[in-house]
Amino acid sequence: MFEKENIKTYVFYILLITGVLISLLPFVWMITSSFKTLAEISEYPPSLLPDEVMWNNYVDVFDTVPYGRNLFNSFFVAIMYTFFGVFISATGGYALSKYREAPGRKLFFAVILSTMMIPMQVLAIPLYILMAQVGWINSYPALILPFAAQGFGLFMLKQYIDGIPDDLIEAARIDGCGEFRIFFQIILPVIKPAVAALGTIYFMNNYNLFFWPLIVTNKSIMYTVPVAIAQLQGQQFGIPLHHIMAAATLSTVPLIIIFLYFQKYIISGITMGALKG
Amino acid sequence: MEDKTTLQKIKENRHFYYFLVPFLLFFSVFMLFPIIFSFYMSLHRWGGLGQATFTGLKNYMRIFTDSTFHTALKNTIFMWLTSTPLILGFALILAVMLNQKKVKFLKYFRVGYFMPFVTSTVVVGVIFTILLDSSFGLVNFFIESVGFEKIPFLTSTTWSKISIVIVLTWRWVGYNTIIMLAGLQNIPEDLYEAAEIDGGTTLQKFFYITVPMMRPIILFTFILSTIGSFQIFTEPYIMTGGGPMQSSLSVVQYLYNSGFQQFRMGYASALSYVLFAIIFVASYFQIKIGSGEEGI
Repeated sequence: MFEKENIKTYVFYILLITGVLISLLPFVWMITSSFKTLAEISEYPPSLLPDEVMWNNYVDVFDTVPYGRNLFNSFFVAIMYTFFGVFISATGGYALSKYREAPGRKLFFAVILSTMMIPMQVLAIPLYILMAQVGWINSYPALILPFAAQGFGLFMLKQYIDGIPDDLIEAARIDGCGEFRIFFQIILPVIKPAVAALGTIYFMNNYNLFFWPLIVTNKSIMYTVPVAIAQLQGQQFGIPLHHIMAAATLSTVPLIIIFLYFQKYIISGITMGALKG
Repeated sequence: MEDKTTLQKIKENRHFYYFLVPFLLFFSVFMLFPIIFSFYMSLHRWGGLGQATFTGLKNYMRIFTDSTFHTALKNTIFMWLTSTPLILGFALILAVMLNQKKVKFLKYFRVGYFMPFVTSTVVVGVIFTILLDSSFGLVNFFIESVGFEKIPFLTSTTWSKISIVIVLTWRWVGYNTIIMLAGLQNIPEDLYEAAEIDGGTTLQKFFYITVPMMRPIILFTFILSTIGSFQIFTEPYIMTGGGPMQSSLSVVQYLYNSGFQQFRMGYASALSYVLFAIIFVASYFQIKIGSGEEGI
């Protein structure tokens, strides 16, 4: 009996660890490949570790494409998008949650909710035309603004604000606190966990976004990282796999660090949607 | 109190509008307007420059007979129907395993399984282009070392779709595990205890308690996967370019090609509306299931 339990435990952990290895192996492969020569990457049988560590790949990738600028673009756009998107979701969510007497509230809510499942690909053509008309192709506003008003974000923060007792707001009003001060000094501090959760999700989504930046930029200095990498991959002759792996590693490492730091919030953000939505 | 006019009510609640206006403004310009404009466009032929010509429902009619669209739709449905059960099946098993009371290093396992989701799809695409390469890929090295022949993952018309499914599965299992794990933690412990007293086996507990209690969550993840599947673009774009011979072309990539490579803006708009209709039907179920406690 004792033996059988032991074997069960071993099998259990072996399965779990195998799964984790499958999850992580591609990352290991990316990192080790980023230190190989182009010839060594396409060698068969493949080698895990590089014969000679090619730090040069990390230098060369900045020479072939404006990768420093691309990294800056990605971070700048994602940060601006996150702050802006979360802010308008918080104010909007507050309005929908706490002004229940306002005429039109239900209609606004229903309209916003009904568009929640519309994927950006459906909006790409008209948005592209709009951007072209106002001369925003290859611009930061085009990368930041179009998907800032997300029904998902508004809904998530509204749900969270619903949990704040009305008495708290009423008491502040009686004390002579203005409506905007109530929002900034009472509501915002209370919803911090939800704001952090939504913020990390927004940041990750935007940092990794490909479809829209691909459409709305065509100058290499305005590319975000995913587009820059895709352009390297898309070269007709001699795809520079070693540079691509270096670029991929450079773009992924910061994200992993952010994830490890904020993982509590990311996980709560994802599960919030599942359990309440 | 009862006799307030709407105007009075609006005035009293003016801060509602102040707070909502920033969101509403961007929502209207970048969401509502494109939805309407897209429909208008779909009734026209327009090459990106000059005047658009009204063509009525012609674009929609063409979609019905467009064999490339049919191929793309078939490919997308194939990827959806094969990846979703794989993803959700693995995720449920994994979540049940991680939900055991005495799992050690749970935190590390969770992080490890979640990592693929954190990475950008483009990066995932370029890594798997190397891993699945037909001549030097690591996966083929493993396949050959257990005695099978190398598989032309990205260069054969049969395998290209399957390669995309492999990548989708790898990327989305962890994400769905996290959702399911949260659901499992909501199942009352005493249900399992009662089953144990009655002598229920692990498998019985799984099928008679876990699965029925998890139904709403499984449904939710199923619909998320469905919606996600119809948006597949980056993986084939990076790994196969939709080929060989359109064997991994997805609906969204066809939309992209029509609109931004061939500049058939009207036709691409019609395609986007058809895509929207497909996704709407799918998400309709979610709204049905999710309603009840919406708190409107």
